[in-house]
Amino acid sequence: MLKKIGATGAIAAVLAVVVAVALGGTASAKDAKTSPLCKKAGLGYGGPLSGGAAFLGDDQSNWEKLFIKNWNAGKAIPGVPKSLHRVKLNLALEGDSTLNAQKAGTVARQMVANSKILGMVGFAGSNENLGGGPTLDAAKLPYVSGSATLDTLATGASGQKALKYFYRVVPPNAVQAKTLPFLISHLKLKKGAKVMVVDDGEAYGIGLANDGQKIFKSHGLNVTRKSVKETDQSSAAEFAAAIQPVASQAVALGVKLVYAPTQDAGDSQVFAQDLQTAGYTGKIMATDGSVSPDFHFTGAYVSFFGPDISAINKTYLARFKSAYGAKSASDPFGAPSFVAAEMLGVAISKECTAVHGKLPSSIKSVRGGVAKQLAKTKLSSTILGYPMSFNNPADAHHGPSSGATLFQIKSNGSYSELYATH
Amino acid sequence: MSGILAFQLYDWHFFFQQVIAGVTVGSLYGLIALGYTMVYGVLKLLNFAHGDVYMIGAYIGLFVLTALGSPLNPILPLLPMILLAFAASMAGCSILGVVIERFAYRPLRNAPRIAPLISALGVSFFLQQTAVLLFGANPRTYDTFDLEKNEAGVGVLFHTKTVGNFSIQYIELVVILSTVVLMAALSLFVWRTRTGKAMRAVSVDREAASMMGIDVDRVISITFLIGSALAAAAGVMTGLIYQQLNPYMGFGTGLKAFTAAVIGGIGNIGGAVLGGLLIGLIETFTVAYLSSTFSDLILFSLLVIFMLFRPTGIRGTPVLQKV
Amino acid sequence: MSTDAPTPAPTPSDPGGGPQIGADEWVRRSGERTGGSKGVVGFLNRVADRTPHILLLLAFLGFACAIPFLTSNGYVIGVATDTMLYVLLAMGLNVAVGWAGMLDLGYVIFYGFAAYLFAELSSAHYGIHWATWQSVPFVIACTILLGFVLSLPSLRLSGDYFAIVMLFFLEIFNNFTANGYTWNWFGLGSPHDITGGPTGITNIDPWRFFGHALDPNNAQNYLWVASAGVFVIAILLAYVNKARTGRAWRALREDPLAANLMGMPVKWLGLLAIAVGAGVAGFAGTVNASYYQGVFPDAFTLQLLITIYAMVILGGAGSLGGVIFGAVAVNVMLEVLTTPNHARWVFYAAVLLGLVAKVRPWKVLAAVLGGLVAFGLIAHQVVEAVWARGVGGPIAMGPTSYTTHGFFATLIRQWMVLPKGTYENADYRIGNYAFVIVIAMVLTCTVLKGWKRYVLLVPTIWGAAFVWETDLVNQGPTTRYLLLGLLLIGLMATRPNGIFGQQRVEIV
Repeated sequence: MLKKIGATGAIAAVLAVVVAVALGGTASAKDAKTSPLCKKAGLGYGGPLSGGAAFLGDDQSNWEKLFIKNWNAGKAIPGVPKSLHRVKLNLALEGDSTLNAQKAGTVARQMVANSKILGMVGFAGSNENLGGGPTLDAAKLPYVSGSATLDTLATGASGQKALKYFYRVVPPNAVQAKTLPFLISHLKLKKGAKVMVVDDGEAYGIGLANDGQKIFKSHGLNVTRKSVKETDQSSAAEFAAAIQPVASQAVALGVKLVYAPTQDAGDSQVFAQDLQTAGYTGKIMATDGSVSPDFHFTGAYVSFFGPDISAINKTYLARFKSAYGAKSASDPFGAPSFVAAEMLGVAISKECTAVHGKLPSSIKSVRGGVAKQLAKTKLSSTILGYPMSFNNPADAHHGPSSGATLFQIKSNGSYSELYATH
Repeated sequence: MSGILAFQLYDWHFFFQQVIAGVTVGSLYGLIALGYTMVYGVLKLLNFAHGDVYMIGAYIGLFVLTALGSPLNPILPLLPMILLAFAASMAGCSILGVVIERFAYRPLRNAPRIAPLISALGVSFFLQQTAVLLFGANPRTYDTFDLEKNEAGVGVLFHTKTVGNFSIQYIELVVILSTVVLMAALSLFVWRTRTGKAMRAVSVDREAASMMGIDVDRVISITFLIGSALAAAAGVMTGLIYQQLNPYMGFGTGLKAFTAAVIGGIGNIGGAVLGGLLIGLIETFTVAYLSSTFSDLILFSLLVIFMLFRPTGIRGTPVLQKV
Repeated sequence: MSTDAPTPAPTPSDPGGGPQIGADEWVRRSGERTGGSKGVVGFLNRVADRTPHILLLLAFLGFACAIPFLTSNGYVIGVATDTMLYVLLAMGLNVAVGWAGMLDLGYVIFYGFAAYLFAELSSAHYGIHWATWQSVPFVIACTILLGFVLSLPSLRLSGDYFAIVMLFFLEIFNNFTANGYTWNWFGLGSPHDITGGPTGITNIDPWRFFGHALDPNNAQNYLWVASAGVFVIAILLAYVNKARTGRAWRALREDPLAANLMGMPVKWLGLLAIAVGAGVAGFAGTVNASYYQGVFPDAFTLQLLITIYAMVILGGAGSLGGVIFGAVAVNVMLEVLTTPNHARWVFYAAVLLGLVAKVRPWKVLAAVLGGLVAFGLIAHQVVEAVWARGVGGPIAMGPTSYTTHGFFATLIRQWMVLPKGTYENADYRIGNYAFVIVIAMVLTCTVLKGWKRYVLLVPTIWGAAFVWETDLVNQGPTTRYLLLGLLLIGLMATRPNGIFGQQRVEIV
């Protein structure tokens, strides 16, 4: 009996220690001459790190890690003034929200509870921001997304609160849709011409499809709307089984243009191939989610934010390749997260300079101060090849003044620019 | 024109295209369903890990093809390359299936029915994350569309053969024929060989079968071996025709295949393939003629109604409960 | 509960040993079979059985409700609230799966339906804002009704076929919530936005008690609400289980045919079990909607169902305390494993616990542990001599921080082989190859017996630690589910009835 108690006691004690250490306590920021946060501040990342979309989250967080490494090492970063005193940064927390909005809520709480974190890169998905945003807003923690493009995130809509501390370094969906009027006239689509819009069942695709549908209708075109769940949320066989009938429908209806916004470049490629084998003679257009070597269908049109796919700073691209592999380096979704982290780093450094290193003792005020600085931060250039700043909060927070660009894919797989909005 | 329910009668060419597309995807579901139904027959176990064996099979095929230079610089002609991919994949997954059975299910032979279910779940998690660790989370592609392209850029597997209103791609023909052949081979095996007879005996009454001198462990291992080999074949075919792979592809397709197995009457081999075909056809026709947005809703509602009318599935026989 | 066997008839033969004259052997050993499991868990079981269960429940809930006073870390309180919701869900699923023996694969529908209905009634979506005391009972009632309706197919279908139909309902529900933003009754009406599509319904009213709104950004409010719910529901469920309905459910679970022949309304009992589970899920759904401040279609999918099943079975289906334990254990484990620094503690603690629990004679245990330490040190020296870059790498502390200093870090680095290039991509493949090799070694260990097993155990555990340190610990999200999978496999192999489940004899 005693032996059993002894064994039980030992096991219980070990478990208790493990749980106590594991759940961790909070470290309160001690008051000192220079606030410790001005010596080393924390950044977070929120996005899908497991599940079907894990490669997106991995890419984005890797770019953020690249930024932090180069920033801490004092390397030259486009847009960061040499005179700026850099507060050392570290990626304190990577929150895996698996593109699930309610999980994003839990990740948000984790970010807020970590008193070293002064800003977060994320969330990657638009619906994640809806789920986790309110908690971050209540804590005044600024979060900058490199990929959430839902139009109404920052401005709000009926039934949706505006997210006041949400920023993004990519334009919202409505900006990309501005390339469509050019395409309509370029393809000489007359009134009554048939167009097919296929969304991917996600907030991204549905948002772009809705915007596109509005523009097509306003030009008097005849729109058929379809919806096929993208491969991230289903399996390739299910996707392909559903996309084949849609492809044959496009042929049977005599559609002149297929507009298919999706986040999965492989899906766009398969769809384009199915259209070709079904005998389609019209044109196909995808959006920025498909910009990737995986989508190389000759003659397809692609819209993209920013001036040029290949404008990414060569030095940093090479550094990313050597650290994380060539495959990831070729997808252009991670790089905006570098810029997002950069905006946060600059904002934190400027805030520390402004208060001469003595931050207020309440973490909420500190974060609020960083957010205010973030709203004013301007970078004259970035690794993306264009400057970055945030618009008036009444508009959607987005930076690039260059808007969106329309490309066409050439037979060697390269993207050649056709048109740019300004 | 709203796309939610745009009912249109297209022409016969369109109709036949959908039939072939539905039969193709249905054949794949059927092949995977065969594994589910055989395992259920001998062990009364719903093997959740089967879908992930299918995924591993697809990846093995990818590695073989890439090693042989596909798609841009293949060192072998098309047919031997594909056969080699099939062979390697089926061999590898057979071993995997047997290992899974030996370590995850055999200790639970006499446990309550839900325990092996949870163990299967554990195996499924494990296989998925192992695939992420070893193969990376990035989706991969067979890229067979670029394999032996013609001037229009269409790979030879995707060339269409047209006879009047009826057109079919070579790869679709390959999938459908392979399924027929494999199913025929399986039926032959189960109904004409001694091991097949042993399998049927074990599925009727395991204890009595062991008392008649049948090595139950060996029979069950062979069941898993065959089932996993079929799933691997389906995986390679998925890669050849649908091209995209990711570590989580087994989950969704496995679920549809599992549905097919139950719809067809769980435990019945012909029923599994019929169930697969039914699901594939309904899926395709719903998207083609009814709504793409609510295709799943319509599919599953129809299946619910179907089950209410045929409670034991297409080919299932009401089971006599012995007291 | 009782390990007392009925006293055998007095005989002159050996009282403790084999079969005895005049005593029914099977009856005599029934206590062993159903009552006591050995070891720590059996001991805990017996302690728990002697304590009035209400005290155990109060102790658990008291600890949970005290968490906001023990720490101000919002994340920990948030995890506690999440766990309470899982406890509710596990208790509800236990009714159908554990008590009535029905495989309910559509359970998450009720959770999601309740959350969505609450969101529709008490948010800015339609502009109607029902008060909490109106919408919560109404939603629960509607969910129970839905439970009855969806379980009607069980009147016609048996066992596995009914399970698959529930799965169909789940798929229908998922498709509807994800695409319900343009529902136009198949062309008969104009498009309505019913469920909000992938962006769901947000801006949901918080729960209000007497005019005081519970702020969802302070997780403790909902922790207390959920705990109160757990308290009331656990008592109700325990009462139902002890009463005639519970006994009828047990009869249904053990042998439906016999129960039917004894005159029990078997079909009605099945409907009732699922409806009661639905009611519990309904309450959880209403808390979910307000706490997460939004309902989304991807929150109520098959993935969630699988997680709840894992919790219920792991804890022991059929035992209310067991499923509560399962819910807490699984959710806390998954959260803890996300951070490398914490996960490392859990891994080594688990290995040590496993060794202590399973390697029985103390001498063998000491030998294994000693061998482990020696093996590591020797391997370190050997590799250092042969491949200079092979040792000296840092250990991972977090996403971007690695360390070579500190007591624990130095200890590990001396014992372990850590190639310098592991975290900079140069040597990371070593972890992958080692992973495959270690899996093979683990499988071989289970096959071997006797001293051979213990000898192989030493390099196997060291290899596992090697893979852990070089590969897994830094990839939290992937590792979590890997370990959960291994845990489920291992647990089912050793304790098929779950940790606190009763050892049952299943009559086939």
